[in-house]
Amino acid sequence: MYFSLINFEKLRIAVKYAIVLLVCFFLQNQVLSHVSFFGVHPMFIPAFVVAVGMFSGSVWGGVFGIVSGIFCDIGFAENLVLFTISLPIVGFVSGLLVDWFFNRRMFSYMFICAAALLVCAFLQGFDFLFFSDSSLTALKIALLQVMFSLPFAALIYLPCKKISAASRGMQ
Amino acid sequence: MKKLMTRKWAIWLGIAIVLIVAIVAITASSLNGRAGVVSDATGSVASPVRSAVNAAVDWLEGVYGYIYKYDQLLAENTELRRQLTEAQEELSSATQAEEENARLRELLNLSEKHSDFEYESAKITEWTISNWASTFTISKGEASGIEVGDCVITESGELCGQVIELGTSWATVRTIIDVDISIGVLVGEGGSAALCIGDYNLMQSGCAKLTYATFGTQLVEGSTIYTSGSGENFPAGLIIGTIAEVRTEAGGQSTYGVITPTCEFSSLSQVFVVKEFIVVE
Repeated sequence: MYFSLINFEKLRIAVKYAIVLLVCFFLQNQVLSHVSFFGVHPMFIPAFVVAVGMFSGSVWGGVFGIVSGIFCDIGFAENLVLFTISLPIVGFVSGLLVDWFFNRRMFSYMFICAAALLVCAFLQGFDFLFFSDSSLTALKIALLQVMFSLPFAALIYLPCKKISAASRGMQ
Repeated sequence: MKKLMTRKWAIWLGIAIVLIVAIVAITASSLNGRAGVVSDATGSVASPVRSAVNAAVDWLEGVYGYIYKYDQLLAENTELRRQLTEAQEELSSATQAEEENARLRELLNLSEKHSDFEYESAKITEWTISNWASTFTISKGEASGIEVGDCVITESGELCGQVIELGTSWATVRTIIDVDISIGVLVGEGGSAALCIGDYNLMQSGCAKLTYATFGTQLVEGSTIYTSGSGENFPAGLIIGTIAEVRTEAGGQSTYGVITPTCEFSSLSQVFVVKEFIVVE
C-alpha cells in the first residue's frame, strides 16, 4: 500500500542524475586535483546543475543544486555556504530560462553554463576581486577557471539529455 | 487548479526548509573548526577513495620516473651523496659543539635548551581543487588526538601548515602560503619580530608575505624566517622559509618581504602534526 505512494519513475531519474553527479565529483575532486592548466583547476559542478535545470525543469535544478552545493561547500574549505545558496538559484534560473527564452540545444546549454560558471567564479573570488590589491590576478584566475571548465561542462550535456529523454519516453 | 497550486507551494516550502536546515547545519558546525555530521561522513567515506587514487597516482609517477627520469635520478643521487658527506662532516663538528655546550651549561647550572614535540604522522590524501585557497587533506583526524590549530611540519622540521578543520579520520590543513594564514615570526640572525601572512598574488607563485616588521628592522634577501612561538599554536624555532625579495608597498611608505617556503609542496606526501610541544629556551 505504501509503495504506491512512491513515484518510481521519478526516483529512477533521480538515481540516474545522482550517479552522474557522483561521477562529476569523482572527476573534479580526485582526478582534476592532480591536473591543472597554467596553475588553475577547472570547477564544472555548476554545469551539472545547469543541465538538470535545463532538461528536467527548475524544481529539479533547484533540488540538485542544493545537493551539489552542500557537497561543494564540504569540499572547498574556504567556503561556508556559498554553493549551498548559489547552486540552487543557478539550477532554478536555468530551468526558467529554458522555459521562456532558450532551447535545449548544445549552444544554449554552453551559453548558460558559461554564465553560471562565471557567476560562481566571481562569487568564489568576490573578496579578492573587490576588496584586495589582487583584483587583476583574481580576475585572470576567474576567467581561466571558467575557460578550463567549459570542455568538462560539454561532457555532461549528453548523459543528462539521455536521462531526460528516457524520462519523457516513459511519460 | 487549487490542488495544483497547493502542491507547488508545498514543494517550494519543502525546498526552502531543506535549504535553511542545510545552511544552519553547515554554519553551526564550521564555526569552531569541527566538521559537521555531513562533512565528517562525506570525508570518512571519501578517505579510502582518496587513498586509492593517491596510491594509483604514486604508482604511475613511479613508472614514469623510472622510464623517463633515470638520468636525472642518477645525477640527483650523486648530488645527494655529496651533500650527505658534507652533512656528516657538519654533524661531527656539531657533536663537538653540543658536548661543549652541555659542559658549559652544567658549569653555569643552566637547564638544557630543548624542544619536546609529540608528533602524529599522516599522509596527504588530497590537495584542494580550489583556485582561491591553498589547503590539503591528511589521513588522520580527531581519533588520533589532533586538534584544530595544531601546526603541521615536514620530516625536516619545516613548517608547512596548520589544521583548520577536523573530522574523525581526516583533517584539512591550511598551508603557509594560504591567504588566511597569519604566523608570528622572527627574521634572520637578529630575531626581529614580524608577521608572515598570506597574499593572493604571492600565493599564485607559491610565496607568502612578510610584513609588520618591528620598527627599524632591515629586511635582507636571504634571511631565514622562523616561528616566534607567539600565539601558542606554533612552537618557536620552526623554519618557515627565506626572504626571496624585498618590495615596496603600494603606498611607498614601507617595505615587505616575499617569503619562499623551505618546504616543497609539490613533492610533499607525508607530514607530521605537532599535537603537543614544550619549548625550553
